[in-house]
Amino acid sequence: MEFIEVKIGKSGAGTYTGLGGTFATIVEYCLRKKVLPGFHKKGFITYAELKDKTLTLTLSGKHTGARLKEMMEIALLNIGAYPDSGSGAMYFIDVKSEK
Amino acid sequence: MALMTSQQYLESVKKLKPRVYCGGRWVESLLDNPVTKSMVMANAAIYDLAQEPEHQGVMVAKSHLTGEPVNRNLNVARNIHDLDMRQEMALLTSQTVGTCNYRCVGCDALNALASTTWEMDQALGTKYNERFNNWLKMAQSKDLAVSGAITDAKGDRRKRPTQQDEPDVYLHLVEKRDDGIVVRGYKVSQSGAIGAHETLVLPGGGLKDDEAAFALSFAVPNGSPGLTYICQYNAYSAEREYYGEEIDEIGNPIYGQRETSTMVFDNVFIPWERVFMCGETKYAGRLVTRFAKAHRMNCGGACKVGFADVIIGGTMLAAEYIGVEKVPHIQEKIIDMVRLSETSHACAIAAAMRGREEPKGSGVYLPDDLFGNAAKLNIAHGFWEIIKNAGDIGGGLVVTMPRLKDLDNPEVGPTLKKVFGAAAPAEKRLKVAKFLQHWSAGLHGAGTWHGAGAPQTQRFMFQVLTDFEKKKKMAKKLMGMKDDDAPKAAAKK
Repeated sequence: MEFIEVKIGKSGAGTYTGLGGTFATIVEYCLRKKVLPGFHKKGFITYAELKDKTLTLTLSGKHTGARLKEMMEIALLNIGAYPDSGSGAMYFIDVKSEK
Repeated sequence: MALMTSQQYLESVKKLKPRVYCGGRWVESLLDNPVTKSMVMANAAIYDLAQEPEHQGVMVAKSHLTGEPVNRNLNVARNIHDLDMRQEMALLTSQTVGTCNYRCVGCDALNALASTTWEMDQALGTKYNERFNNWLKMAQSKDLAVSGAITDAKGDRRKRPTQQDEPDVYLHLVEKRDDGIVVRGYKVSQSGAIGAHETLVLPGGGLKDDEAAFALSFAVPNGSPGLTYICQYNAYSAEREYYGEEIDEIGNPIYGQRETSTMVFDNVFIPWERVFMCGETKYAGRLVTRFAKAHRMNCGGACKVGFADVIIGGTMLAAEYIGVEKVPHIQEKIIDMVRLSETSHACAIAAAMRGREEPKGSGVYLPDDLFGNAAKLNIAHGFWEIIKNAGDIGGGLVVTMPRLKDLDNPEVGPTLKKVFGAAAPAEKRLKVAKFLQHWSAGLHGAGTWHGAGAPQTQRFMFQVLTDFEKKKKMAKKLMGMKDDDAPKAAAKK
């Protein structure tokens, strides 16, 4: 299993687990296809970068931290990753709002 | 969480965002669209069944991977009892929702994969079974709704997959990378993926050595970008959209007809941990055959017996409501419906009871092929007879009835109540007539014919599985015919 931690700003917003390859999947969609799983509209991801084991995302529009957390949960659920209380994340997604 | 409640399932569906097109528009929320909602509600009802103590013997099994209780839809059959409970689950779910158990194809697909990935690992030294078991453990622990996608669009039937003008008519490999594979193509007539968490994809049939790009099996989360679902749309879909919240007007108000979609894979990425076959053409046919033998016992046989039960119940009510339930020819027709139905149930039970470990050493039990095919072929023909009798006894009203709410119309309602009042009030007569319309003039006749493979595939299997030479020898022995070549010798003279 893979543990992925979502960060909003400097704080952790939740940890998710999925089968091996889950992080590669979200990287594939966000970085190569520029699509956030679960959100089909084009241009929703305005910036995406992978550095080491951290995927940095900027989403278009203005969103609260709570909304960003909700959106990332939907994105991860739609590729088969589920909330988990565990620690020791192997991968990180750093997400912020464009405005 | 070992067993999800229907409420938990419905909450999870609110977060599922598959790209779904239905009847001219994109579906924003599966629960807000009346057509897709019926499919989701059927799945929810199946989750409920596993919570009910009286049904847990059928609906709940013990995981061979963890020892924990799991929904039988996610169970790998490890013995005859498991097979028997599996076919009983098909019966129970159909009796309960009067439509597809949308987790059924996934269940039979995962049993075929448990068997075939084990065999591949033994012969080829691959790691497919380990991956598959990891995936299954995850699915079991979260009690995921898993659907199955098997049937390719197939294009020009005279041509093999590699010869098609449009290569996507068979789902195929686009790219093999370090972290996974990329696939594209179409799977058609797929039941219930839109409301499932994951779909197991299998090859559509046996493949030749040069068709490795089509020998693919994997599990895909249903919200994966690049995956689009184009839903079936027909008169019943339009009717459901027309009535909106007034679902009492509809034949199967909550759970509807059987909802399928065409799945379009547009360069979908699948990480290796979710890939259970990639290029092993020799095993593609085995995988599909094992799926088919399970599915013919369950979907082909027992499931339709559940449908028949509710059709028979509705037909008897129709007879009672006009006071003909004791008329001999009516009783005879109803008995015929029971005969046709229970014969298929018997075949499904026999398929389970004669099931066996396949392959030896795998620990996976699959039903007897001949009896499973007999269950399916028998009900494929029998179902037309059953719905014919339902239409016969239900009378012309089954197709000539007005709307139910017309009974409440101040101008025509009082007249309609007089017209259709009989041994029971008009409301009851029209309600049951609408129910029988759903079956006898709906989608289930052709659906039953083709579901789990069209009858020609069962006839082919009969040809393969039946030892005709042995039967000829038996006949010759009885007749005292000793010279096997006697007819040829006579012809030479």
